[in-house]
Amino acid sequence: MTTQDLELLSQYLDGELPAGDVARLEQRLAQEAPLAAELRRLKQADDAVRAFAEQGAAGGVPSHVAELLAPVSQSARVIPFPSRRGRAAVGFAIAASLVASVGLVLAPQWQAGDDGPLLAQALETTPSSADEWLTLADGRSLRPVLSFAGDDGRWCREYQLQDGGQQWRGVACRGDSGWQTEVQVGEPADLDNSGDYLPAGADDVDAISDFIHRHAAGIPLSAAEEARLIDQHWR
Amino acid sequence: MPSLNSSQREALLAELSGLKRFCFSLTGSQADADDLLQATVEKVLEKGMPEDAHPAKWAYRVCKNAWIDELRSREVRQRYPEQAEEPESSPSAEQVAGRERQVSAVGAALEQLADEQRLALTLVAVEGKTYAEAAEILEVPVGTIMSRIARARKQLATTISLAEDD
Repeated sequence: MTTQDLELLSQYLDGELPAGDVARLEQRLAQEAPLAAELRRLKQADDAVRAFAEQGAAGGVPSHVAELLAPVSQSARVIPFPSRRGRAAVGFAIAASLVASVGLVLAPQWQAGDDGPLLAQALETTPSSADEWLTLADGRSLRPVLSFAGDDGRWCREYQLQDGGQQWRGVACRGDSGWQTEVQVGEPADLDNSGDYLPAGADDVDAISDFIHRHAAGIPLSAAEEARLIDQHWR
Repeated sequence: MPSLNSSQREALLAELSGLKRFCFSLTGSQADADDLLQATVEKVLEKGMPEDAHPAKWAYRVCKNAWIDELRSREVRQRYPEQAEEPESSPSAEQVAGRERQVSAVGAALEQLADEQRLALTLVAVEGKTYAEAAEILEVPVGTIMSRIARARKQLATTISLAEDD
């Protein structure tokens, strides 16, 4: 099966094939048994994925979520339902936006290369971790948080950096000259570990979130994908 | 605080079931999908939506970004997603076992896909979006969507076939 035929079959299943191509493909399907068999196989995969998705959605939309979208007169009385795990997806973003809002350091163009060969070297080889901190040779501590492909083709990594009582969160991207920090925000050293759900005003800005949302080409890398890139020196 | 007008709220409400499936494809678990759906809706309500934005496409994009926030806040990338939870009613032990085997195989096969392939396939094959709509939501060219879906289908079909042969 050639890549071209695979893409033809896939577009056919999705109704994305131009009419002229549909006629030609259907003629081939009538004559080429292997091609027809592959189409059936792909169709079965689609059916299985749909069944899986339906099962995932079997519980339906939680009523407290639907209520959030009730007409304004009703929704004004709706109190947001807390996440089951106590730390909703927005929890961190809100906590981090609070950090930005209290006026700590924001240095969008801070250069890792200025004082950061150790940081750059560590970002090159240290896997992301939920709680492991790496002590650099100069005494600072580093925790890479995640890695993602940037929209300009560079690999980027979010990290936390501690130096004494100070802590920063930043994003560095890997260019021809190595890792360079693109954005960095100061944060209290104990905030990130508190797990508290902190309220913040709607106008607060999470510079790190915003940067990642603007520049990530997709979902961040899995641990395995990241490990592979580290092994291959991010190439 | 920015909010949505009535038509935007209605459009988003009508899209919630699809968004829930999208959340499930991202998270691999019903509980996480519910939390992500809630976070998405809260974020849309908090940040508002431009008048000329397509509510559904806007919401899918916010959902993708909310999941990135979640990945940043807890290292969920390190863990294997839960399997889909059992339905409450089970017609027969044999049927349940068969369905569990199939769900498990499909879930495992989906988990092996690259995220961008899984998202593209979910939007088009499950949610019925066009390639152009999926491209807009995922912010990539249409040609990229086409090739991601084709590769995803091929890998899925192979993985599921192998699982059935075992």
